[in-house]
Amino acid sequence: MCTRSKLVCAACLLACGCLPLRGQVYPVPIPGGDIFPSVGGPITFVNQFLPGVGTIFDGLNAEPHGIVNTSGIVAMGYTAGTATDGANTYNIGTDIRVYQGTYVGAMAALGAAGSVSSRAHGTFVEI
Amino acid sequence: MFWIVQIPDDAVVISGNTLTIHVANLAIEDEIAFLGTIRIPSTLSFDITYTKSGKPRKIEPTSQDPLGAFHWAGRMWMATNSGTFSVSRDDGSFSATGSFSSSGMFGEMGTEKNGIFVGEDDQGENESAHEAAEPAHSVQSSEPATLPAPLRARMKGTTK
Repeated sequence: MCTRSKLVCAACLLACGCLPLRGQVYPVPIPGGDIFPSVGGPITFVNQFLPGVGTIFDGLNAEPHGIVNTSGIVAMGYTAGTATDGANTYNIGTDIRVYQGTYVGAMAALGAAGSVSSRAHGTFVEI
Repeated sequence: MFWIVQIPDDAVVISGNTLTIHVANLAIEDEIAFLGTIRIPSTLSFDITYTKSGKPRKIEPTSQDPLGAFHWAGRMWMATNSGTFSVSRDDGSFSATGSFSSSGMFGEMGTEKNGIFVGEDDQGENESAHEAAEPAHSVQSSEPATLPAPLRARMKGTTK
């Protein structure tokens, strides 16, 4: 197979690979977030804030959403509880957030796997 | 497990002061440890009810820093929540059921605009979103549900 044929095949494969992605609008994480020091490990930047009052939180009115360029409904809350696997009992904590509304995210565009902005509606849960 | 996943619109129902979410057999990955690097395919189901109370806080952007925590607008109510869940690893090595509640810990629900929507007039679509947080309402989607669609790993301030 000549070089040109290989290039054409590669381009076709790339294009075909992108087809299933077209039409789906991927939400984009908020650009900011918390930076967590880690004892004995790397510092971790997380695209998420922790609303709340107290030293470990980011403030009462801190951004509760995990997706940027969005307009809609958000619900969140910290919890505590227990779980069991039948033999053991575990203490658990959760921070589950619900997002529903309009967002402007990234949609695949034919080419070198590029994307363009696109408006969509969706419901998301953060677990 | 620290993921944002898209779910069907009808998994969320808003009625009066409550928002309920029902998710069944959601394919996720168990990270095992906080900031873990090992991920085990798992299945999660849960039901949660968020209940708002009191009067809403009107949130205005107090910072123009797009990376900051205060560059958004909305109306938020304090909220409690409680729920139940079941989870199992697909390889059968672990499964558990449990329940949880906010019991005094921080929670909130309401409407929000961020990013390019900040500063947009509270008319039309946004007003609909404000209203959706109050009366009985269920929003239908024109987008197909794409389950599962884990977008990114992230961490929480609480253990899972």
